[in-house]
Amino acid sequence: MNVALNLFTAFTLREIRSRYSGSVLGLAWAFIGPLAMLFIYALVFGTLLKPSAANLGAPSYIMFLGAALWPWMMFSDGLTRGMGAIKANASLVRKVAFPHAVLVLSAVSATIVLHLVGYIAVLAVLAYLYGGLSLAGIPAALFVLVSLLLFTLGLALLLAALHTLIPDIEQATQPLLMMLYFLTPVLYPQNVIPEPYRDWFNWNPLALMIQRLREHLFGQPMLNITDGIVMLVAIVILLIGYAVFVRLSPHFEDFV
Amino acid sequence: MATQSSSAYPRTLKTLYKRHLNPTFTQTLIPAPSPNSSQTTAPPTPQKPAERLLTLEGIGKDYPMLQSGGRRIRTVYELLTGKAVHNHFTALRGIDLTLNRGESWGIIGENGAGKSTLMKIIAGVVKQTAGSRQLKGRVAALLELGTGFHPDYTGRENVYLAASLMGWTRAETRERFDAILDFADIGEHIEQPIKTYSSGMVVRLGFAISTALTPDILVTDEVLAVGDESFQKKCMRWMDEYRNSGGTLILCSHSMYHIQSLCEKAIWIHHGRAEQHGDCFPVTQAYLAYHEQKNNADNANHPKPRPNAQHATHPYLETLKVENGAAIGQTHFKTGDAIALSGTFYSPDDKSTVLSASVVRIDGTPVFGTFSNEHGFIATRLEKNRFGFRFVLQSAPLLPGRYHFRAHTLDQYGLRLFDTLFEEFTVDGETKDHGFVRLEHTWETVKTESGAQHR
Repeated sequence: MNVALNLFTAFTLREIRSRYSGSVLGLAWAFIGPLAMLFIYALVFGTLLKPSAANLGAPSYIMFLGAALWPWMMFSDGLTRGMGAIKANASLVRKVAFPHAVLVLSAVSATIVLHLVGYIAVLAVLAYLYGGLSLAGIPAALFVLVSLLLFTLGLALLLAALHTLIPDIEQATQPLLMMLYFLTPVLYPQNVIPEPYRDWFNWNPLALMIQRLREHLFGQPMLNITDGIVMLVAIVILLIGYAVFVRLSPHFEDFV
Repeated sequence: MATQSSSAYPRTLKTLYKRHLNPTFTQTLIPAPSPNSSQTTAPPTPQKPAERLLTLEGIGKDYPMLQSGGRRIRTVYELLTGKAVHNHFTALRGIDLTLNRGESWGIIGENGAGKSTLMKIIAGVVKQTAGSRQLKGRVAALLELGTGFHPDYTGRENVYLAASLMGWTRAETRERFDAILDFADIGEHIEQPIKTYSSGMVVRLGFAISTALTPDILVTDEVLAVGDESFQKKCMRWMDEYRNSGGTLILCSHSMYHIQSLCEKAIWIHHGRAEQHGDCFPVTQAYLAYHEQKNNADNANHPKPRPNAQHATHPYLETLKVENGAAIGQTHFKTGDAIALSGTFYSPDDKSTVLSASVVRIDGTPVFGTFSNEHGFIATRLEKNRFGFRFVLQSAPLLPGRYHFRAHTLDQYGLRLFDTLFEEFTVDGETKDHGFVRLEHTWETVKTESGAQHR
């Protein structure tokens, strides 16, 4: 266990450092990309849609968006990095004996940590500029973020294992992530969805997580049953993902 | 008995000598590690029963074979549900191996026989599909020299990363960092990214890291052949020390020389099975014999087209015979016998040419070779285009073993080699000498200061 922990630390540090190593701005790129997206979306949708604050459940569209954009990227980048981690380290997997899950865990953790720093910075700046952030909701928001981390990790483990054996998974993931992005209320509030379809969105754990995050950050500091269910779903996904991963990982060496 | 006091005798040399050059010695004279043998060369626990480090029982390994997409999905399903994979390639079957502390095993076999798979199973990189593996202690596998390295990081950062892969903590690594740096001998480059390193430096650093751990079992293949001469020597020296201090070694190599000089035992993997295992010398001999047979069979099935007179553009050898003075075709000799090689060659331009004759050991190690133009030798013209020669070793001091007597035809300047033929012969006998040849020597007394002879 100690070995795995050491390895996890070493790999995560390597992930974080190597991500932008050699580039002039270095780690700053981890924030520049999402920031640019935030401003483009805010400009386009904030001015085009002119959503009312009441409709959004947030002080302003840019805050509404900021609260969801980083968690979404934690999920999508974390998943992409995590599922590719085995192939990206094929030479290690082929020649060194170590617990392979550490690779996925490190990739997901590194991505989420980087985005978490960006998330905190952006929320702080926006709260300073616009106000309306509920500090009391932060512990509950962290609870939701933990479920997001577990959910991402579970899916990443599952897909990393399958992807190592079936390369098609990689091709399928990007379009599916794109679809999921638009099916998750990141850019728009869920209440703009026509009534008969709106409830369907509640089957998407990510939609629930993002909604709950906004609610916690903008004035509902208490956890409720939804948060519990989301956490439960995340844990189940993690257990399934880990079980599949452990089952298949002895064979990675044959395939990567 | 005094002559074989194993105490002061370096262990490698001893093994080299007992395994390598003198098969009979193993059975007749080598005692079990004698109880009074020195502690410095013996494993740390010579008195105790051997400590079992690794036990492999009935190890088998199937690799799934993947072709079409549908098959892949089926294979994944079979792997997930734990069913037998239908379409597989069996790399290893029923391998048993037990490894005690202080032992050294060589793994030999043809390409594709399953050696690497076995090494990976021992190292824990691959999980066997059948059988059981019990391991005590830490294994370091030199299969991965430098594979854990990230090109963009400095050597220092990579040392820490690689060490954590081998199960070290940062504190442990820090403790041994200087020793690693010292062994790798790459100086200030340690602060440069690995991508700026030469391949030799990468290997040196990798070897230094793996060895600094002083693992219980060291698994290695031919990677040692990568560094430069002095680094190779350093590695060999380290290996000797490692083994002398009770380290356990598994070496996979195609060089029977390395196997015989470094290993006490050997396992010969053939088509995924253990064809033979046990003491190094008989196993390597059987392996070499197998190759010889195979080559002979190959030659018999696909005889190498010999040049013939109509098409010959260069001189080629027609006949070759090993003999001594008395009997033509004699192939068994004693150390010091006269051995002669006589033969004929065909010369398309009806001129004699430069010849070369050499003696090589059966595993290909050259013993001696020479050229005819050094002596101004001109072959005897037997008839048109046909020449005869005879090459005599008046007294060949060869140690017992099997040898090839080779002859070559070359161009008239002795530069281009045109043709090669060889004949096998055996030097019989028993001796404790080691090496290739018996050099003339005497053991002499020395005078003491008082001038009297010391007895």
